[in-house]
Amino acid sequence: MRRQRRGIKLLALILGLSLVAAACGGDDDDDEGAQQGGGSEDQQDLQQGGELTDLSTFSQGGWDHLDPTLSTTVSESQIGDSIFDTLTEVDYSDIDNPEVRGEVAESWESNDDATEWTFTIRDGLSFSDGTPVLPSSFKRSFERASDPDFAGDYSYLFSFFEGGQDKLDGKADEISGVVADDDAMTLTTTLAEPYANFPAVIGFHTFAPMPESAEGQGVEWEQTADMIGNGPFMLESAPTQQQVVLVPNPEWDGTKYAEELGLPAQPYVEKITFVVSQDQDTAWNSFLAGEGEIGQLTSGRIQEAVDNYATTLNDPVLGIYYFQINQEDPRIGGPDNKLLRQAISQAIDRDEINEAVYEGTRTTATGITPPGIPGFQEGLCDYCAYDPDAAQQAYQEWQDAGNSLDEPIPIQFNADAGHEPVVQIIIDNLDAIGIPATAEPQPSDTYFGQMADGGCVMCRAGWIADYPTYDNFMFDLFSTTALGGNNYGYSNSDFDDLLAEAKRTTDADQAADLFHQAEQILLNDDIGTIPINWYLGQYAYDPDVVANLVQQPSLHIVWETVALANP
Amino acid sequence: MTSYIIRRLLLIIPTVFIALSFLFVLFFALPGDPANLIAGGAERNIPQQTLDQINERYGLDNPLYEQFTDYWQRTVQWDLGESYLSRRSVNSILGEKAVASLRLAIWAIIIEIVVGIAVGLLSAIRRYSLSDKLTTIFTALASAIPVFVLGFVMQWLFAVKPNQWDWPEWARLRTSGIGPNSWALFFIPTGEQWRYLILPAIALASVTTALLARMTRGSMLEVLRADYMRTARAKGLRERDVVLRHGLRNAMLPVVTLIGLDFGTAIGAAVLTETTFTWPGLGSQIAQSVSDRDLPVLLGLTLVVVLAYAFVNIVVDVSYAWFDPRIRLGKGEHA
Amino acid sequence: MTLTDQVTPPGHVEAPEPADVADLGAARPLRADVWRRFKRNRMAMVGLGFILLLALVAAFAPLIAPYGITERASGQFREGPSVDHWFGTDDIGRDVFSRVVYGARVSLRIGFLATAISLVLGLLLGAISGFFGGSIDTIIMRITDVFLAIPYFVLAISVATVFGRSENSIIVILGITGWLFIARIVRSSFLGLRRLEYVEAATALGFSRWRIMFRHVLPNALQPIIVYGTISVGAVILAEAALSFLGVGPQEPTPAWGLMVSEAKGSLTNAPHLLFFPAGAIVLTVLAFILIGDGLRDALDPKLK
Repeated sequence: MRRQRRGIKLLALILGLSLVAAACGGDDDDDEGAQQGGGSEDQQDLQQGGELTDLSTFSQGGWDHLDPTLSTTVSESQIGDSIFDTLTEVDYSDIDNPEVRGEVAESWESNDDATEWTFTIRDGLSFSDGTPVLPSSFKRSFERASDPDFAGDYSYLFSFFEGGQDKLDGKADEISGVVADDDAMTLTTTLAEPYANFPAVIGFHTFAPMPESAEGQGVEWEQTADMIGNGPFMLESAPTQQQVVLVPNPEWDGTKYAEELGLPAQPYVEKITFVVSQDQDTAWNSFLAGEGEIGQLTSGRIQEAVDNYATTLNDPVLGIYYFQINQEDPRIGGPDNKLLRQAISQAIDRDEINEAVYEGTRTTATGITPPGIPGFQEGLCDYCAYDPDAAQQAYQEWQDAGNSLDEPIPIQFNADAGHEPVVQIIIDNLDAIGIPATAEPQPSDTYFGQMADGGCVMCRAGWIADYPTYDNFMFDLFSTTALGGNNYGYSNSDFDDLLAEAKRTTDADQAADLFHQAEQILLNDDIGTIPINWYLGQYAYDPDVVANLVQQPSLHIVWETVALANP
Repeated sequence: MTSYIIRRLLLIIPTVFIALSFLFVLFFALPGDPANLIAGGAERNIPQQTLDQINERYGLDNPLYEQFTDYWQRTVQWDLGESYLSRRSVNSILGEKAVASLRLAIWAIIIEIVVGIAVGLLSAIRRYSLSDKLTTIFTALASAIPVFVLGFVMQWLFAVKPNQWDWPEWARLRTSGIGPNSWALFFIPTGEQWRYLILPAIALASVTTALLARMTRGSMLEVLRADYMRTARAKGLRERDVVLRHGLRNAMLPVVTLIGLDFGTAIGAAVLTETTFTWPGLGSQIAQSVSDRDLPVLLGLTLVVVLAYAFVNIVVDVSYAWFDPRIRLGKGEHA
Repeated sequence: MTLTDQVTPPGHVEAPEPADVADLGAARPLRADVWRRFKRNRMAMVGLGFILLLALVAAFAPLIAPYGITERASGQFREGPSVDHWFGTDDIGRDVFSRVVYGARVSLRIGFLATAISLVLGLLLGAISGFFGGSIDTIIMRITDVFLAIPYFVLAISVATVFGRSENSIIVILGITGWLFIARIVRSSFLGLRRLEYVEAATALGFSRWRIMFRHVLPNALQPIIVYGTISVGAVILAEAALSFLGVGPQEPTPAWGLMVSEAKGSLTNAPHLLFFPAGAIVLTVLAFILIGDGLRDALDPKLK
């Protein structure tokens, strides 16, 4: 149960997404509109006041870490991101052109090869205890979070900085690549490798600033009401495994941040209670019983939600659901079996999976990288449309070349996470064109480890962006030197070269072009993977009660802009 | 009697040792790298760095023998370690959960005893009548429905539907959570607490109440026919006195045993009920910790359960002796 | 998971202690008598009838079920009962009626096999423990204590992980956890009888211990065992549902009733047929076994004349 939430919704969500070259200041003047995200109301009409109970965030179990430098799941980071604000934030008001805006950082600049980034911190920002937010607040936080005794699961991110790896290994006392100058109000970061999209990455919650009172505090800190932050909300009381209660932070003023973000001076609601449920169906029952204002869409009950409530179903999420192929498996991998893989991909009726399993709430994928990622292009995959005739033909050709399947293709997936029906449909689809396949459910907790150790033949995978950049999908999953994301034998040096070049390229369009080329190699030349669908939004609410609910592609709700209709 | 109790208490120690060691070994005999499990390797690949950190922190790289002795050294000092996932102390986690489970269990037992015995008695007295037959079917039905199905049906009937029909607040029950957690005298719900308590308590009690009802019925039937009952009637005592004073006491022997017995089923029912109603007790914690492979919490939970079970057994034995003078006098074998 | 019913509660109590030799023979009613008394109990007969019907359905499933268990009706998802699909269709378009029918096989198989394992293990260990007594008895009782002490679900899920999640692991788990009570019942009757003069006399006469054990002592313990065994089949089926809820047990596409119920638990409000039919099958089956158990208890009761 817990693993399910780790699966789809985990993996952070960064609010940084950037296509804008960051060569000069981060603020861009050519964007209009003060709205946040898609489809929100004019904020002038929203009323202050009222209390909110949320049943969607912790609908499948409680939390392990609320400290943003330790948290790992989407649910947890929703709290962390409400209590802390980071240097940058993504503006999704134009969904096709998300841009990085300055939150705590007023502006930033880099050197020519994107290895050194200097952020200028705004004046006059405070933590909820009144102490000022300074560059040293970030330095302090980074050092604390990279301390080997304290570090959490995402601490490897600090290896992006020069000297970060040494600090994590215990060889150094501090990260040499991070320098804070409180007089000049600048934070200078030197990276271990060039990274054009770094401003997007540093908006991730692991890079939150910390007040002086965090000095020396370990994991117990997040279990008290003393965790002080600089975000729109603060803890009203110590968080428990039954609920987490937030109230507005009087020291916060959203209008001090980039105007395009459209944040109010104070949150609209007076209190938010995040209720913990152990079982998704119970959480939904609770929502139906009127015990909360926001619910999470649960499979099998989506039609019910759509019929009776408003949902964020039409808001895209930066996630891909796909099946990985082990290129080193002689049955199905490598150039010799390309036709087989093509047949498989074209035989799968993705729309039917969507309708049956997700009640139409996902978007059939036409590539790996999802809409919402800057540079996204529709239809990169040539073989992802349902075409049983072409599939049949490809399979025939493959067999004519002297190949045959002696036993059914085993399809792996983690059990009890809702993937069973998907796999059953796929097996059925393959059967229709004569390809034998069989399901091989695996224990959830060891799933990825085992797949990485060679257990994968054709295995289910899912990925939600850590930070909304194209390379987070391409590089982390398919490059030869991926940070632990690619253990399926896919390796293509042309692909790798294109990616490296794209990462260095500061011109957005050029970079996008390079990424497209790379993705096409992956999907069409090599058929290295089989995309199935892209995630969509997952929240339900009564529009007569909740006046403004904005869900971002990171699955975050922007809590400071949520308002009640009749507070 | 006293020596017997002491002997029983001492026997708990080896039982605990074997049970926990068994789990410990099982955990490490399971497939998969423990560090990977802890890090949540289900949905993503974990960077080697993170795995190293985890191994370091928990000493998972040490030889099994060393980890084993380390564990026992700490446990004997009642330091149950910290949760792999949240790094909170196991002692504090168990403390709050145990209290919640206990409160729920107390009410489930109250319902079980009151309803179960009453129903059982009534149907024993009116054997073969229509109400007896109905009761038999009804109690059998209650035993046959899976607890979580019953839970969902109740949630639907008493909370969801009332909301859809716009009933007033006072007429509704709550689907989940422990609510305000306000109690008097440890287990009496105050204020709105009862609204959160009632549905899970009924669900938890459902199986055992039905069992107890039928158990009582059977036991009473046997006893009602027994010789000493005939004697009592022959002496001219009223039927009611006969039943209550003589019959009931003897019928209680097996019943008492049943109440204390079958701890496994009780835990199982608690796991399902607490998960379904999000009642933050040991039961829901068990389900979660097993799937999380959170070993320290799991071992701590097992310890609590083992001790509780042993304690309950001893209580049952003692009360059994109280009910049956033959045993009190030292006759007969004990388990 | 165990359902102890009118069974003499094990652990701290014994089967009726025959006061003297004469009772030994009278303690066991004749088989013909048992059947006659059973037949008189209408509800028990209904239960028996249902189980027989179920067995037939299971045996002839391919003839009765109109569709295969993985056969999908494209585009018809979560539809209610209709002429084509008597019990409706499920999430991915499969016919619920066919799956429930085939599910009878799975459930009965799990129920009977697990109970059989429990009975065999329980009889063996209980007999050995009770008859030989002494240190053997103590060891075996301590082992049962340990098994009883580990929370049932912890044991179940751990075993499932080692053996893999499947029908077989469910059978193993439930078999292993069920023998404890049988063992205690058997042991109790042995303990009670060991001291009898009758047994001493028989031993003196030269009858082997084994013969005494199996021909004279054991049959007395049979009454509670038979009743327990019957109800146990139903209890095992119920346990399968609970374990499926927790993710242990048979996996897709096996049409196990418990798995179907657990998958459908959220559908109460929008597709109740998905929950109702498999849950109903479980309830009726368990009910039937309970009624049969009740009937057997009454029929075997030596005190009933």
